[in-house]
Amino acid sequence: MVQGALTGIGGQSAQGAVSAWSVSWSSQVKGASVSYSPDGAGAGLKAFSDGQAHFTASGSSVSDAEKAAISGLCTSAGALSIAAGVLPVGVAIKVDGINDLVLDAPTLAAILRGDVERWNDPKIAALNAEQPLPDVEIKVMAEEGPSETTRAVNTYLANSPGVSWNPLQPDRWPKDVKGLTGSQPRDLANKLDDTDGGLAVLDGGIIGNRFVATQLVFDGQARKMDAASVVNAVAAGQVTTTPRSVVQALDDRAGYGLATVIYVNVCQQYVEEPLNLLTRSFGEALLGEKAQKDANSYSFVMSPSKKAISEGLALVRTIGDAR
Amino acid sequence: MSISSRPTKGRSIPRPLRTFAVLTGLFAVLLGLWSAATPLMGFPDEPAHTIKAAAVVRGQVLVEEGTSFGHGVHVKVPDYIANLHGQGCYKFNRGQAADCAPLVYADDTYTNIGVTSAASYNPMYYWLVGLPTLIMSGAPAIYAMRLISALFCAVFFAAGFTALTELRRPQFAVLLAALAMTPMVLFLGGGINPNSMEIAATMASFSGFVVVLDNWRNTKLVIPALATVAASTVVLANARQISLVWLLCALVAGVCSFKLRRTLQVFADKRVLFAVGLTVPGTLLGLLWTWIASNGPANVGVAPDGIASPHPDAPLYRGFLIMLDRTFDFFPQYIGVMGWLDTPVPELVMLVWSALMIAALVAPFCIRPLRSWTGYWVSLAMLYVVPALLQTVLWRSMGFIWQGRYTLPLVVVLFITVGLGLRRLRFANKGMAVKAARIIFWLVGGCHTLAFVYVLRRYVVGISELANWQTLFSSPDWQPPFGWLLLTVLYLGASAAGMEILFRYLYPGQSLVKRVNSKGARKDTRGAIRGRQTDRQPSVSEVSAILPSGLPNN
Repeated sequence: MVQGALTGIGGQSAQGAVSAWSVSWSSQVKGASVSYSPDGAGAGLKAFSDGQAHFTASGSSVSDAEKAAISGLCTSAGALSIAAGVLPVGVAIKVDGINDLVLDAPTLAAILRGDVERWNDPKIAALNAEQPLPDVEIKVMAEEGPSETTRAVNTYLANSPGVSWNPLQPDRWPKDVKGLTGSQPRDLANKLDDTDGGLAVLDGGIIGNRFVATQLVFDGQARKMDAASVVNAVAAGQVTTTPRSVVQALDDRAGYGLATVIYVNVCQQYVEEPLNLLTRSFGEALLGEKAQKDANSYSFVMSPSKKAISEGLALVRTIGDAR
Repeated sequence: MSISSRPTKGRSIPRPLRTFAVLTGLFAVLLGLWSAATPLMGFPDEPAHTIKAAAVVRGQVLVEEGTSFGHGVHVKVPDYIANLHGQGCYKFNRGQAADCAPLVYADDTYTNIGVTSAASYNPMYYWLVGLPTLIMSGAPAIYAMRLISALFCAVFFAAGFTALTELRRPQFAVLLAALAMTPMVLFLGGGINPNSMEIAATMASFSGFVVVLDNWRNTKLVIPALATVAASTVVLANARQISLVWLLCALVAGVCSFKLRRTLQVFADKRVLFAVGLTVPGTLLGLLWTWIASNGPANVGVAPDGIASPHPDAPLYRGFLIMLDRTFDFFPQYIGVMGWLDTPVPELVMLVWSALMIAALVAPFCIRPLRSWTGYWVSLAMLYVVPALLQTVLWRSMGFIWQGRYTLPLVVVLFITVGLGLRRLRFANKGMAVKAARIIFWLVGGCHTLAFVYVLRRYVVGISELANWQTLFSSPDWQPPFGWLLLTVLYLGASAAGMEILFRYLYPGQSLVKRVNSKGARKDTRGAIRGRQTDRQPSVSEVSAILPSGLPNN
C-alpha cells in the first residue's frame, strides 16, 4: 500500500509545479504528501546527496556521471533525472502606456548592462516602430541569484549572435548587470509593481496577467510569451533519453524558447524499500495528465512533450529496480 | 458529617497536597478527554511538535549542520511520525470530517526524514513528551504523547490553583483563575505543543509568587506555593525562548500587585532565597538554550509561502501598529477557536465568556482607588504592548504570525490580578449571590461541554450550514477512541465535578446540585464568613475537606 510523505528541496522555479503535482498526487493517493522547500537548485542537490531529501527539483539536468555518484538515501544505483515541466521565463515591464513591446537579445543585454537607459532609446524604438515610447528611465531589477530564471536568460543571451554575454556562473548574472538585489522573485514582482519604468526577469507563473511580458526575438522572429507558442517550442524540441535521464530541449525556431525545464531527480533505488513504491507513485502521478494540467492551470507550467512524458514514465517505473 | 468542619488533625496528608492531587486528577481528566476527542494532528502545529519530540528523545537535540531548510529542520524519526503532516486533510476546512486522514500504522517504523519547524525550541518538554515513542508505535504512541503532555499541564494548573487557595481571602482570585480556564485553554492542554505548558506554568508561577508575597511575614506557611514558584519557573524558562518573556511579565505583574516594600522584604527571606537559588540553574539553562538556538547552523533557504510571509523592507512601526490595532481581534481566540483556528466555539459559548470576561475587566474601573489596581493596570498594558513588541520583532522575517493562543499566559495572569484586586471586597456567599452564582456556574459548565461536543461534531461529521447534530448519531464519518458519545458524557461529568468543587469551595455548605438543609447551611456560612472577616488564611478544612468528599453530606 502506498502511503507516506516525500521531502524535496530544490529550485524556486519548481515550487509552483511541485505544489500542483503534490495536490494532485494527494487527491489520488490517500495519505500521500509532499513537503517541498524552494531553497535553490544547488542546495537541493546537496540535500539530495546528503540524504536530507527524497528528491530534488531544478532547472537543469544533472549529468549522468554525477547521478551515478549520488548516494544519500539512494543505494549505489545512483539517481535518475526526469523532465517534468516547462516554466516559461519572461522579461516583465511596468511602463505606463506600453502594453506590448519587442526586444531582441542585443537590446535586452544592453538594457541589463545599463547601456540603454531610457525607454525611448533609438535601439528600442527601432524594434517598435508603431509603439510610442515614453522618455522614462529604465529601472532594471535583477535577482542576485543563483536562480533558474537567470540561467534561462543567460543561456538565451549567450547563444544569441552579436551578444557577448559571459556570466561567471550559469545561474547568476554577469557582474555588470544593473539593479542586482537580494530580493526573492515575489518581492521583486512587488517592487516592479510599484516602479514606473521598471524591468525584471521573472518566471511566467509570477508574470501571469499582472505584468506586460515583452516579445522576444528568436531566430529573427518576435514571439510572445504565451502558452501556445511555448508548447510549439516544446513539441519541436529534442528529447534525449539515457538510462538515467530524460532531457527536454526547446526549439526556439518553432516558438517562444525562453523557459526553464524543470527536472525532478530521484533515486534509482532507495535504501528503504517503501520509499521506492512511494516515489514511483509520485513520479507516475506528476507525469500524469491530471497533475500536468493542474501545474499548467495553477502555475503556468507547461507539460513536456508527449515523447518526454512517455519516456519519463518508463524511467519512473524502473525506480526500485537494482542495477 | 459536616463538610466544612471536617477535622484534619492527625491526617497523614497535608491539605495542599490533597487539594493538589484532586485538582491534578480533575485537570488530567479534562485535558485527557480533549486529547482523545481531537483527531491526530488536530491541534495547531501538532505535527511539527510531535516530530520534534520524537527526534529529541532519539538524541537529536541540537540542529545539526546541513539539516536546516526553508520549510523547517530535517530530523530522522520513525516513518509513522515523519508522515504526520499528511494527516491534515481536514485542517482549515471545518466542513471536512476527520475520516479523510490516513491511518497511522504501528509497523511503519523505518527511519525517515521528518520536517519540523520547532527545532529551535527548548528540548525539555519534547524529551518528556517523546518518551512513549521509544516503547510504543503508531497512533497509540501519539495518544500517549498527548496524555503525558496533558498530565504535565494538569500538574501545573493544579499547582497554580492550589497555591491560590493559600491566599488570604482567596475566593475572588480562585474564581477569576477559573474563569480564565476557557475552553481554549483546556483544548490546548490536550495537544502536543509547549504552548499549553507555557500557559499552565505561567499560571502556576504567578499564583505561587503572589501567594508568597501575600504571606510575606511568614513564608513558612506557604512552602508549597514557594515550591510551585520554583518548579514552574524552571519549567517555564525551559519551555520556549518566548516563555522567558512570560516569566518576566508574571514577575512584574506580581510585584505590581503588592507594595514594593513587601517584595523587597520577601526577597530577603531565607526560604525565598533558597527557592530562588533552586531556580537559578534552571533559568540559566533556559538562557543558555536561547543562546545556542540563536547561534545554530544557518538556514540554507527562506521559509516558503504559507510558512512565512516576510516583509523585509517594511517599517517596523507598521507591524507594531497593526498588532495594536488587532489586539482585541484575538479575544475570540482566548475563549475558543479550536482545531487549526478553523473551529470557533458556538456563539453561546462566546457570548457567555465574553460577558463574564468583560465584567471582570471592567470591575477595576469601578472600584476605587484606581491606584490600588497597579497589578491589573500593568498586566493590561502588557497584554496590549508585549505581543505587539514581539510581533514587531518578527514582522520583517516572518510576517504577521501572531495568534491569540500565544498570549494566553498573559490573559490568565491578567484575570488573576483582577481577582487579587477584588479581595478588598467581601465575597458575597449567601442569598441572591448564591442563586445567581449557581445559575452562572451551570451555564459555564454547560458551555464547557457544549464547546467540547461542538468540536467533536466538527470532526465526526463536519460543520455544515445545516444543523447536523442528528447526523452525529445517525451517520458519523469519524469516531474518536471510545466514541464521541462516551467522551461527551465523561466530559460533562468532569466539568460538572469541576464546577461543583469550585462552587462548594466558594460557597461552603452549598451545592450546585441541590441545597443542603437550612440549618447546615447557616452553620457553614457563618463559619465561612467569620473566617474571611478576620482576614485569616482559609482554614485547612475550608478547602481540603470539601475537595475529596465528592458529594454533599446532608
